[in-house]
Amino acid sequence: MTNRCAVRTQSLSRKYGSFIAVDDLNLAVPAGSIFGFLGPNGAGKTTTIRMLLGLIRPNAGSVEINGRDLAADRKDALASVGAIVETPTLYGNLTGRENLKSAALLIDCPDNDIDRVLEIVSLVRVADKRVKEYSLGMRQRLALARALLGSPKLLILDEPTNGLDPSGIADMRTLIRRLPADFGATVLLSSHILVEVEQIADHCALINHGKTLFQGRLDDLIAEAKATLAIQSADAQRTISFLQSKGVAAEEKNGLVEAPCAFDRRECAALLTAIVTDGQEISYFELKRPSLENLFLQMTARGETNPS
Amino acid sequence: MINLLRSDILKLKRSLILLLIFGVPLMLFIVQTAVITSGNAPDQWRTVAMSGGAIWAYFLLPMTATAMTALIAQVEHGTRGWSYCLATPRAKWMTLLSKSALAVSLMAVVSVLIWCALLLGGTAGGLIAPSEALKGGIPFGFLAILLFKMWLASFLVIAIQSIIALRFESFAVAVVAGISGTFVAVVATSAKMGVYFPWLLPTNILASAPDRAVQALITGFAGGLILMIAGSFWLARRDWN
Repeated sequence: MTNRCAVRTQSLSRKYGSFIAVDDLNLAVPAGSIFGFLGPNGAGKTTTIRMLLGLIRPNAGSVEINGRDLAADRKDALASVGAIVETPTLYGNLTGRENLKSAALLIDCPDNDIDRVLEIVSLVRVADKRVKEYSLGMRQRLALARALLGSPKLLILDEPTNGLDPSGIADMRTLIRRLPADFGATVLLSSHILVEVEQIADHCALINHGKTLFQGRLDDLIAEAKATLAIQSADAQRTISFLQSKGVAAEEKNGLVEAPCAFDRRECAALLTAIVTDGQEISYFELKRPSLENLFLQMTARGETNPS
Repeated sequence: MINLLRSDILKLKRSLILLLIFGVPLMLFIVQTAVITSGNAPDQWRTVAMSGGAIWAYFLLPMTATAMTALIAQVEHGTRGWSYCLATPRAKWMTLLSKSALAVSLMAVVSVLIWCALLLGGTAGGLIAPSEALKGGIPFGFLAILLFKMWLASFLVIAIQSIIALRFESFAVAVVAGISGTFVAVVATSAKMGVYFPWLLPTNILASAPDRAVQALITGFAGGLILMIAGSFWLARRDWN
């Protein structure tokens, strides 16, 4: 991976009346990465994405895409971008192929690229069916195919798995994961589901109320998050006392001993080994993955900001 | 611009636009035939062609422009397609201008079909009721020039309707504006200020005073072109959520 940025925003801000949707946002999306843009609903993700695509204008700040300033050089900046914004905006009266043709005309893309992108998303067989007959998963894949027209260097995907069933999510995840390696594209992927992004992304930014709470490698965010180690032991009180003596704030919940623990196998194993070595019997344990919600609550509780 | 128009035309495939393009001339054909067979129509081809043109300009043209521009805009509003087509490397104002240009082009197609409908209606009326057959030569050229001028004068109405339809997501706003404009045109027909009222400009092409017809032509055509371009720039500066 290079140090080049596919997207860089500087002090990007957007207000709606007195409501601040995006506040002094400094994003740096490394070229060639899959960048998870995380935040709860209403955090400012879609507003940011709309500013990145020039659909809405920022009140302050700037956007640079693949080294080109969006305000000064919109045409060249957007020439290397493919996007899905929110729900896929497809024309139900047209076939899949016609949808792609209408998009190809807009970006002056040759017709043979339509077959290429249809193959990538495995929609060749149904390309001549009307889109209104497509399932949501097929629509999302067609929207991705449209975003891939013209081989863009940057793909901006806003909640691309919204509303999909588990197999649709898995298909989309597989497709997105291939993009940097197979097509040399950088992917900026917004989502409010950490688990989904965790399986695809290597870098991420977490925002809330339009402000960056974290930006960096996803591994660092996960490592920083506190998971919960739930243990069923023969003597819960003894286990709690033991853990507390080790400085771990354990408590009993629903018949289980719960203790905060880094989402890290080694730390989890060390705690369990210590309990067993103490002579206690463990019949069940589970390392509960931190949800974005918990992570978000932890970060806002700490008032943490790390915009670096 | 050509590719933009090709894309917009493709998006209308299997939409209601064909019903509009063929439905309105068909309606006029039926009316024309019925009027002639009823025996209440003037017996001269030229007069009948003019009255058919008047129905078109006075009522059907503004209503067709209203429906046409609204349908074109709804293709994007209804699918939230703006977030794709305005995020392409093309200038946003061009993308928006192509919608108005498409409406103007399709209105030209409808005008040609109206020409056919009026001439076919007149001929069919004479065939069904030979005693009511129209006299004088069939006014091919006269009617073509008349409808062409009406089309040019309608640019301003098309521009207004197009900008309203593109600006407001709701179909209702454009329709209410179109109905209101047409209604006021009926009321303002003989008013002095009527000469400037956009919805009356196509009708003013029929004015016996040549100045009024020329003024309508220039105001409608030039005003429409200017408004389409200015409106596209104005819309392009808006936020598209």
